[in-house]
Amino acid sequence: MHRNKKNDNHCLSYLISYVSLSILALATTVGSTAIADDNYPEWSIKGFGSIGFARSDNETIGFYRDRTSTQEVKKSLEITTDSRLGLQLDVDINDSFHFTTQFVVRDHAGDFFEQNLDWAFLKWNPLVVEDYEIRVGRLGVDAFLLSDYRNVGYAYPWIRPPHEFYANIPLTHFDGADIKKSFYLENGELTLKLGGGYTFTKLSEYFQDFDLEGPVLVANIIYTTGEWRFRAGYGHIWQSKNLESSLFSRIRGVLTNPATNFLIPNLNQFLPLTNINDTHLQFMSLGTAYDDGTWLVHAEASYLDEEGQQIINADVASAYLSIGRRFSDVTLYSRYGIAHSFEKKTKALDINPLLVGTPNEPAIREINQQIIDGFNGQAIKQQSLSIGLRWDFYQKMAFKAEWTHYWLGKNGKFSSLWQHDPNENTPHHVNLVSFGIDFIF
Amino acid sequence: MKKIISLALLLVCSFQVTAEDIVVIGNIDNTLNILTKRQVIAIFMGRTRKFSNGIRALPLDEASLRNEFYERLTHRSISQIDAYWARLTFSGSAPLPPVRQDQQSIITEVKKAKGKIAYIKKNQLDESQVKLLFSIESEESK
Repeated sequence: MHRNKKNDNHCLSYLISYVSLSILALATTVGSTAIADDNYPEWSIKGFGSIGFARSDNETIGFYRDRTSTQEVKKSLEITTDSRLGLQLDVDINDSFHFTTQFVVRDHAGDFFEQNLDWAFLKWNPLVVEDYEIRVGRLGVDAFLLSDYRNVGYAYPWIRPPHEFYANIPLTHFDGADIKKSFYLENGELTLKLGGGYTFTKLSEYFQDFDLEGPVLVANIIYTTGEWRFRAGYGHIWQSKNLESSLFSRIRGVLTNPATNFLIPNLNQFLPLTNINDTHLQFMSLGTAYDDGTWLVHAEASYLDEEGQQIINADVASAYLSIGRRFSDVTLYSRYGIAHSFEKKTKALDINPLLVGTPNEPAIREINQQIIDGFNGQAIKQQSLSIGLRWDFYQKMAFKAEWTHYWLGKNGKFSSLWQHDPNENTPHHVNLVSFGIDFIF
Repeated sequence: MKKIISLALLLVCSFQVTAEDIVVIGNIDNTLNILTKRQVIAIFMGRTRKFSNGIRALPLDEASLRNEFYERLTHRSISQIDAYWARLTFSGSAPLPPVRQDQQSIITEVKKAKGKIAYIKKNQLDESQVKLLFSIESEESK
């Protein structure tokens, strides 16, 4: 396991700043109790959770809920993937100040306390300039339809957020500030939000031990009416940290080794492809949700643009459409999802002409192919069709069951959103069955 | 067991439905005199934080009337309302109205602050103490 001292240090400093923020909030609370309305401070602790089970019909590749998951789903029933427990503390300090913190116990790579602390922020609604909201602290990356509640199964019809769309976007929080302006219009509410700060998200070991880390900018426009929600979101991360895992030092070793450069001349020209610091990651999304009490529709499309490198991922377009209908306490739904990478293919180099025709030629060609596969193989080519149900069998509790068929065959030897044995080809079809209970309290 | 619980709930709910109309009340100093159904929904569904006169709206829920109030106001099941509020609450976009356990504490609280808005049974209404802003019964009979 690769651990980085620097990370530990900054986790610690973040934790210290959250504790200070909480103490500040509490201090303000105590201080404000004497002011006018004696209903302040108003406290509440609320929670949400899921107990979920999943299994697939395939042992070759393992299903991951997203890139931060450490436990994959294969043929045996797996409870870790979708189970989670969230706790949220809200404190209305007074009319204008509000403190919120949310901690979600779940399977997440990296430090359990630091990575699972999704929010801890102080919110200020200035009374003098109405309809503005300013938040400081640890905030959600609110660039997609489900961004801020992807862990709250009770709030959506499915077992988990659509895989093609959300598995590739592991970013849930950043440390910084945002500002929101609301316009209350005749038929709905329009909000504009702009936020910025620093993000550190630990991805699972399987995904090459690389951390999303660097300055982040998030913006969105949301229009909400009684039945519709429309939104456009944008996010930008300046990746500031390079790949530092042992795997990547091995790859760099191979690329710079004089022996391999003799077998495959100019192999060291690929070295820059292994540097991901100072690259940009941009995501743009459009989404809509409709709910008239009987019909529920969710649709979202995004484009993830990765500049400067390709070893982690190519540009990816993804989208999904889900249509559900309620029959009293039961909701039936069907969902289609697609993710497709636009690869910037790296061309294979020729092997040393002196070695052509020698008994070693096949072995060298094999190595050459593996290197190129490594650069070109981080694609996501996936489609899926799901059918499922949600049954609200008791107040604040819902039972869910879902069957999903994935088409993966075009990924060659890799498929980015799955745990994969590199010696095996990706199976063409995988079925995943999931069921569980979501609740709030 | 579940059946018994559902039956019991059904019984309780049906008693409430036939028992009494529900009225939405506000502070006597709030300059508003009437709210439309759309405005009441906007306030209790977290879609607006203020009244049309600019006063910040501070809605309260009453534990025993909550299910009936939302179901009759929005014509949606309480599980739909709960799922809706789960999204708002746990995404930090709007705070769930604080819940009070009885109608008397609701009335006391509404009397205290200008922006408070809540609902009670009609037979608890004393218009010298709080202001009647909306009645679910009158809306439905229109």
